[in-house]
Amino acid sequence: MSELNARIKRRLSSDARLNNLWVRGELSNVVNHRSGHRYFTLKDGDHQISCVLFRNQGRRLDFELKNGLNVLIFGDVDFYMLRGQVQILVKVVEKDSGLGNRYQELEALKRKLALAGLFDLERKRPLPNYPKTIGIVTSPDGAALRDVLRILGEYPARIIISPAQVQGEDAPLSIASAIKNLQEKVEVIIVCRGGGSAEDLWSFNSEIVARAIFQSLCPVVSAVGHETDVTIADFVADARAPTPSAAAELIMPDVIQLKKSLRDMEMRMIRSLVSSLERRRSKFTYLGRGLSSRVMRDKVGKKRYRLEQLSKRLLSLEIRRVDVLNKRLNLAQGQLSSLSPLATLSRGYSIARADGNVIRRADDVDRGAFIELILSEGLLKCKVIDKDITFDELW
Amino acid sequence: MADTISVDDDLDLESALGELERVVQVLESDGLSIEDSLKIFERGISLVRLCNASLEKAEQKIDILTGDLPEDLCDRR
Repeated sequence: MSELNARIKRRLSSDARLNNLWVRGELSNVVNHRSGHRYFTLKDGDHQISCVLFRNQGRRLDFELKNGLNVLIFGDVDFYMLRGQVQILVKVVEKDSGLGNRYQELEALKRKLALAGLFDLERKRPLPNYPKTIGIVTSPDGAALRDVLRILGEYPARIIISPAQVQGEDAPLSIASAIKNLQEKVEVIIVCRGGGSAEDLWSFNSEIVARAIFQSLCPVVSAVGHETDVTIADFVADARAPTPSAAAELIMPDVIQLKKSLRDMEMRMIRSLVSSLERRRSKFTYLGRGLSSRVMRDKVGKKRYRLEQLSKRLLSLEIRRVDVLNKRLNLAQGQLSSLSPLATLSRGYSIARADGNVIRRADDVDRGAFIELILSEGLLKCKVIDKDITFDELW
Repeated sequence: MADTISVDDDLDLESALGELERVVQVLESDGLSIEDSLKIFERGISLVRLCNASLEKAEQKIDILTGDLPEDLCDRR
């Protein structure tokens, strides 16, 4: 065992390329040991290596080692025989300005795109109220897609998933093409991915993605990461949602509310038609001579009563489940149509017309004129033998 | 008035709702003849039916542009 480890150690320390080298990475698992030594892991994407900075070398350090900090280290690769572990004996640690540069680049890109008008509020388009087609740009395997679909539920629309790689080097191009591929196929596009590190979300800060969103013919909703993550994609998009679920909520109409407002409008139409009929009844020329005024009033009373019953029933429906609502609504519709003035004819009224116009006053026609009586079934052509302008027995 | 309300069942939900709102407003305003009220009323009722139908009869459909739809989403198709 000791011979093996010693051989490995010799092998590593004799390799010139593994000594006096610079390595760039991100600090994690930083431990400031009581002894004054510092232990940490250097990470870069999927790779990592253990590092140790001994007290003597550490004295020269002029900043605190913190997890997440991007650094450049200088040192030798070494084999720690007690644990059988490869590590770097660090001699120098420097802050890596790489990420700083990246943020500076990001700010510069923001300024450039802002100047080019990509963030202008005036160009933001309203989302469609009732989209029949919805595009989703995201990873088909991600949780974000499932979140969006869960919120969309049964909402009747054609949903087109345009798969994209949402992290890694190729992600910006992949996201941009996925957006382009949806053009002229959908009315609104959700571009989304779930939470991740700033690194993971970086693709959404790229110019190519920003341009693709800007050039989209239909409105784009961006939903990248969590509430606090804001990317350039969010600035360009027509609407920004804090999470993928929220994006789905943003584009989906409230179907239950919609059905309720349909019922409300239907009731309003029926009410106004009935009340306008009642307002006008004295102007109509009714020919139901066999009816007494009491019967007529009863008819109006019944009509009112029936309307009230219908209103009550329709309102009580609101608390029921949607599908029950609709069956009942259809039933109600059938009943409501019997309130139509046309149905009134079947109760013995008729409409008098001359030359296509409704006759409202005896004065409207001359003695000897030919008039038509529209009955529930068929039509009578009549000649006016006499008229009595003052007749108002019915009322 | 009645002439501006055309019969067109290809209306999408959004314009159908818009027209329905106008119909209700027109009906609630005074000064319509009985003939016009009736025509508009009937148009309104058919719009309500049209809207309800488009909410109920339409089904959700999920497609994917490239590759296969992940298995867990297939049963939603």
